[in-house]
Amino acid sequence: MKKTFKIMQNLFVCFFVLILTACATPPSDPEALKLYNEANDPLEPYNRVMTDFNFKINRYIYRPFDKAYQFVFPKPVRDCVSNASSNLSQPYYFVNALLQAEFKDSAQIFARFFTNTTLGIGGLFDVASQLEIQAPVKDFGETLYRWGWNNSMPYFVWPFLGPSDIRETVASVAGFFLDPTDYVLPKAEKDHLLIFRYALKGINTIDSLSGLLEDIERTSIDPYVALRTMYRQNRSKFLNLDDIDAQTQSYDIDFEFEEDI
Amino acid sequence: MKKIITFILIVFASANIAYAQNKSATTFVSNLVDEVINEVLATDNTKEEKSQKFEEIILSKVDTEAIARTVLAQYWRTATPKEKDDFIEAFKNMAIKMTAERFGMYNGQEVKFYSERPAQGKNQVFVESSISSDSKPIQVMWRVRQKDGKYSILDIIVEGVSMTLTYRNEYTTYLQNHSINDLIKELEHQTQNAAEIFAQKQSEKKK
Repeated sequence: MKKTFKIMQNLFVCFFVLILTACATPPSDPEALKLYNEANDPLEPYNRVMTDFNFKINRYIYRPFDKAYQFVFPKPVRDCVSNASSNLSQPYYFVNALLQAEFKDSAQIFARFFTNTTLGIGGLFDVASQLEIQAPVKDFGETLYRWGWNNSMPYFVWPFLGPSDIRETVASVAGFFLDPTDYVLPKAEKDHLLIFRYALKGINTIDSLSGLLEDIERTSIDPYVALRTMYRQNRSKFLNLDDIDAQTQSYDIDFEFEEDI
Repeated sequence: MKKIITFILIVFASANIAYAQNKSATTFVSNLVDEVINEVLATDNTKEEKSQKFEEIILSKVDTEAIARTVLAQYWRTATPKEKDDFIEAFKNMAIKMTAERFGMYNGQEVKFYSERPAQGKNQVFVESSISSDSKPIQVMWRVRQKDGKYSILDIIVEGVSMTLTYRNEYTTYLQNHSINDLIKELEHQTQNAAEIFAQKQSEKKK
């Protein structure tokens, strides 16, 4: 156990040294510098290598896995997996809704969780949606964003997990400690539930995203930039879910018609 | 009493007119969607016939030239007239071909329309809609511009991801190290290979 820990530790050190040495130098040409600042991607050399790696993982592991998964399990079963995974995340969303002082949302999330856990047989069926009990996804990244950490973040790509940024990375790590189910259950059950929950989440994420990733890889001139800009825009929409005007700002680009000037 | 009723009627009637005027961009998008569904997606025509009809609709309702200009950003200004024309052509063909290859994904999804929001630039609005899907409905915003009473599409934003902005970021990065002619060649290459790129996907669907 101690040995694996040591290896893990060394791997982490190597990983971060790799990231630090991979920083890009800002260009001197003003047009290029403007693009560079807009991209907000000082770790680009590292991120590119990691994105290539992730595309390969997607092609050789996630895609074949997803195809097999879809072949073996019919749609209703896959829906149950997706529902169960979503249901197990509700306590986490609940805490974050409270932290964001969105009490109406937290009540809705609680109602969803309660309905689906009981009537939906442990979350396998999404009865709540049929009863029109809807609730938004609330993660800790959004909580940090609402708490004022809302400037544009440098892009960061995780191996196997894909696009992220500095705030989301901090949020994901902190999120480990925020899940109330971890504190309620006894230790042994807690560990089992944790593994179970992440397995469901992993399967579900692969099922919903691996096709899209493959599409991006095949149809883009520069799949790295395509994925980065798509991730950012989509995340920005999610962070401003109940403020459509703030959402539109992120894609309201200038078409520069002569009549506009 | 009569006066009051007349007054109420007038208020309602004028409110209705205002409503209709404000929503005319929505009507335009909704007609466009109906046209694509009824005359392309839901027909039994061959793929070639569908592509042709689709191209016809797109060319008349989408401002491909403005989109092509916007995605090239600062590189548009320094491009020669021939490069501009070639790029518009290559970009248009690529976008139409790629979309046509995705026709198979249509499965009777329904489109609902909501509000309209102003966009930057004169006479431009975002039309908000949602498309039904297996799980959650997908939010789609249509950026529409009105000029001389004629409407055209400038951008389609799916779940917060703008197509025009995505192409722009991709192409301006590519053009830092390549020429516009390289980009045109890449686009032509993609157009030619689109069928091949999606062939695997089609065979998956048939299973």
